[in-house]
Amino acid sequence: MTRWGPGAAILAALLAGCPGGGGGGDAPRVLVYARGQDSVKLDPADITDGESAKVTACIFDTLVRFQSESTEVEPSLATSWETSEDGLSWTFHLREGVRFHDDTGLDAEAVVWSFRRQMDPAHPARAPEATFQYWADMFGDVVQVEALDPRTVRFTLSRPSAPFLANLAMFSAAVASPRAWEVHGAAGFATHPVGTGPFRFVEWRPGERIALEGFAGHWEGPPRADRLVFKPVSDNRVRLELLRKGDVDIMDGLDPVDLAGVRQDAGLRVVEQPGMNVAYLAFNNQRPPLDDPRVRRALAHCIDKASIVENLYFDTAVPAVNPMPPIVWGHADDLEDRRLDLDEALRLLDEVLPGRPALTLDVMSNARPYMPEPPKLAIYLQRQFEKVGVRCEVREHDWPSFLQLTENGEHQLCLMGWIGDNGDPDNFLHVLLDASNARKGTASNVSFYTGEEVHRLLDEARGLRDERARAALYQDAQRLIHRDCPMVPLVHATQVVVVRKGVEGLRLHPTGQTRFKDVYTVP
Amino acid sequence: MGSVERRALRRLGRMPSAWAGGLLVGCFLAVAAAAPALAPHDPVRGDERERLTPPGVGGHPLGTDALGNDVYSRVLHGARTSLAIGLASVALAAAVGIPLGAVAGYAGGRLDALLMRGVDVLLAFPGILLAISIMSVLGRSLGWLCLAVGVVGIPAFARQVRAGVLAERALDYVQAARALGARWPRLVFATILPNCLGPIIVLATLGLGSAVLEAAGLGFVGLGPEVGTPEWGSDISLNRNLFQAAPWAVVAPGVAIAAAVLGFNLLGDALRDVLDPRSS
Amino acid sequence: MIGFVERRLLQALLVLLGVSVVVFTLVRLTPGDPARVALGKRATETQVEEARRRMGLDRPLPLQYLVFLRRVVLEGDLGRSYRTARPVLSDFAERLPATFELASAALALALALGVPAGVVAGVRRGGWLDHACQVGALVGVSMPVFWLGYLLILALGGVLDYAGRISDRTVFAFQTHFYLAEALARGAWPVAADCLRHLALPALALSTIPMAVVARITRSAVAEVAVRDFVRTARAKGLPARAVVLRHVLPNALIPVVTIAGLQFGYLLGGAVLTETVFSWPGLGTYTYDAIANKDLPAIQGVVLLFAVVFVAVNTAVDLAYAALDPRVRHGVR
Repeated sequence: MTRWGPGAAILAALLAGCPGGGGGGDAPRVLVYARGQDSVKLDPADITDGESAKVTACIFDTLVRFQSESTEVEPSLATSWETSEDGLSWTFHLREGVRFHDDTGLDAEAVVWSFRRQMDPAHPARAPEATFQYWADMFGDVVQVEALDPRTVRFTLSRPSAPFLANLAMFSAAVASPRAWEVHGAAGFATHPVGTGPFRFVEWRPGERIALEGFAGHWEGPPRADRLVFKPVSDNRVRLELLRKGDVDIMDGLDPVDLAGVRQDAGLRVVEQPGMNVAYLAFNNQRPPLDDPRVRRALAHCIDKASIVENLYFDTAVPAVNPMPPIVWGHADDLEDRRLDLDEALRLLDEVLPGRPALTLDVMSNARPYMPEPPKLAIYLQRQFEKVGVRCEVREHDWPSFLQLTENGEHQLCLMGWIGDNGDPDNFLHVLLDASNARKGTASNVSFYTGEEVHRLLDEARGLRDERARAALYQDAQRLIHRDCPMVPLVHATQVVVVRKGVEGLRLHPTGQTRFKDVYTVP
Repeated sequence: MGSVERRALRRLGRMPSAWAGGLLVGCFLAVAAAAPALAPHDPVRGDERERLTPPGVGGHPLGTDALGNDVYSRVLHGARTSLAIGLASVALAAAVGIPLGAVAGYAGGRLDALLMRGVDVLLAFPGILLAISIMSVLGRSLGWLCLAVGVVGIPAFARQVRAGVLAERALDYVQAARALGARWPRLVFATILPNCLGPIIVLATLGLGSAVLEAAGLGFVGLGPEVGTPEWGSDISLNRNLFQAAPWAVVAPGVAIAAAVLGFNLLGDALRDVLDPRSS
Repeated sequence: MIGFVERRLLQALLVLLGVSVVVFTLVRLTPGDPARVALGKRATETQVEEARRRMGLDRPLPLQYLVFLRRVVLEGDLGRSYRTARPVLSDFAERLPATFELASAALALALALGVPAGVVAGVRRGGWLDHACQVGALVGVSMPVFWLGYLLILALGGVLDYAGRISDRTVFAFQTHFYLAEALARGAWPVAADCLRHLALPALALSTIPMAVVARITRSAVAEVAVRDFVRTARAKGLPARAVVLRHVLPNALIPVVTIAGLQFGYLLGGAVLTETVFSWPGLGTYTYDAIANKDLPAIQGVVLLFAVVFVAVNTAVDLAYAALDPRVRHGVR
């Protein structure tokens, strides 16, 4: 037996197919989440992608947070807050007894440090290549963050900002341990995150797994899983097979085409949530012939959104009428959409463009949460436009090249999308269609739409605090946008996650950030 | 036709592998040439409402893909793309590799060493990595794809031709031609090269097979021709999520690749047995 | 007069220099300002300027090449990945072991199955196994390896594990990135078995082409040796057929097989890009695939450079080993 020990043991384990975790009754409760891509970095302030945010949201807490299924704000690290009469000053009172994973205590200085490093370009706790993009996008109005006493923090804004409180619930507003920076340094901070969240960082094996473990000292009590593993599996089919075999517990990025089969599988359960996103076709409003609203309207009439939903999204989406989804307040429910009407399209085009110029349609090559297969959608649009005599060349790009190209306004048409950050209409309309965001090089308004009136309405709504007054302004803006047709909202994709039977407590959040604290498995 | 060639052809005719390879390659060429006539449907203008039709239903012999395009028609048209890439890239590889090898082999000495080290550099990039890095810089397009696959094929031609020229250089007929005052370009390209033609034909045949395979690999990683162009590798990549819902859309292009490549390999091996007995 | 070994090493060095020129050229052919690409759109002008200086982009091209060369050779600095924001070299250190384990397993599989098949085919030329081997070898090299991967998952995915190197429920603190080797060394048998179960399918998919090549080379080498005088003598002495093959034919036929096996290792590295993608194997292959999808040029170029260095090193080693085994090579003209 001694001589054959290793060989026999391996053979036995191979045949038994046991997971090799050591066995025994006290096996850790491991929860495995399979997804399409790995995280990029784990410094919550310096990330921009959902796959990184998913993980940092488990490790870090924010001052306030979204409720588990809506974008309503509730207390988290701050137990209460008040704002000044003019709306320029916000004061937060911190929770007592909160500890970081490195066993330092949370105080006002740590909060100030976490924000100042994003705000101040000369701050020492800032890697040279860090850009803190979300700070620039969401917190540009903040001029000062200071500690009034060890439990109180005050933010000062340059002008009143209605979405400010909701912004503080976003992943980038996470509070990190200043001590971790001292210990790990600039490079280490991006890969060894230390926060106060329900899970503590264990290891990151890039391309393979990010492992976290439950933090017993969390202020809300320990999470229900002992270990949480994020596993990147790029192929959608392979990911689904792993779930079926029981190798993983949760997966996202299900191919819509597989949904029907999954629903019939007794061992699986589908969790859905109307997504807070929009997929759209952007016209570059500054490049002829797309500078003519009649051409844009004509092309809009070529698109059959119902068919897109049914045949390309396999009913995991709803047709979009406006640039923001109906689950966001202020949505203009009463607008009637342009219908598929090739005759009307032909009539409009013959009027403006008797000789049809060829167009180009740029598209990203990889799946986005709002668009499972961008090239296929592009090919569909190409086909539709051809029916009214408009030839359209589809050009596919990797994601960074695509972003650069569209932000520079080098495209004619492109397929784009947006996932809401904070549930505020401003976060859709201002980002996607305000003139101030149409600057070549950094444009988020890739339609390069510069409607004066819309700009005025959006600006006015930003400064108000009354939600009903703001909603009215946003509805007016949506009407004007619909008239000018600077882009065609296509669909709002439904968030779909599949879990193994026995996985309980999973609730999807509109922002795509799930609270894994409450998730557990029953055998 | 000389007696040597006639004998070679007769030997070829007795080899079953030559028949099998010839048949596969013949089919491939015929399909590529006549794809528009053979294809029952337009390969790109399908109707999305007919998506995922199983084989044999609704006039789709191999079913449809997720966009409602006829898989059979796409496979037929894909042969065109593959053949175009194969021919263009092998032509490029030969056009650069043959003169390179011929000059190196004839000149010898420093020039030979210099040229062959250059070829070694190309050979130092394993597999299709060279093509991948070229394509990722240039972006996806049919033209660049031919270029990238062609560059990968250059060393094989250069080495083969150099070896052939080296062997022929010392032979009597070459010495005689030189004595008669033939200058080197004429000597190399008109006198020596025609006698190295056998191995070159073998190499070109095998090269077509590997070009088809490499192009498919590039298409699979998203570095193929323009979006929507019927191409076997890109089609597998575009439809790989259909493996369970519509396996035909993934299996058919794969079978086409394997069949075409197998054809060129069979034919190339048979040709080598006949034309280039030294290396077989 | 320098010896064969020195000459061969010098040659390898020259080739690597050429490789570095090619890679550098590819970097510089890329459209766009590398400094801006590396920093992203929110970077300020001063940040970009600073980065340009840091990356040496403000100097003339030949000088840039020399700087690039010095950095790569002396400091092992392959630049920073746009995607992971980490030095490409440290990414490699984490990913290469996975690819190395996969390629080694595939090569072992190719030899374990290819050599016996080739021997039997070569000894019994014209037999059914010979034909089967030849057909199998031809089909093997003709199939797209990624497509084969999908077929294998379809056929064997229920029995074997795939997607990753180890089950994610296994809690085992690896010190290195060589999982199988470490698990074996530390005597963690269930963990090693877990690794093996995950390794089997991708290794099998990756091994088909080398297996076909090895079988083919073995067959012809065995066939060639089998008719040589010393084999006939051995047979005439009345040695049993099996002993003749094992003691006389095989050792002599193995030299070309070993050479080919070495060369195939380079192929395996290239083939790994496609295979790893299909099986979500977290090695350099998926790293390359992700780099392509994200136009992460420093990463792509680093991978190309690294694979070329490994490839040249393996080839040189094979040549030298060959020369040691067969003295004719050292003197003869190639």
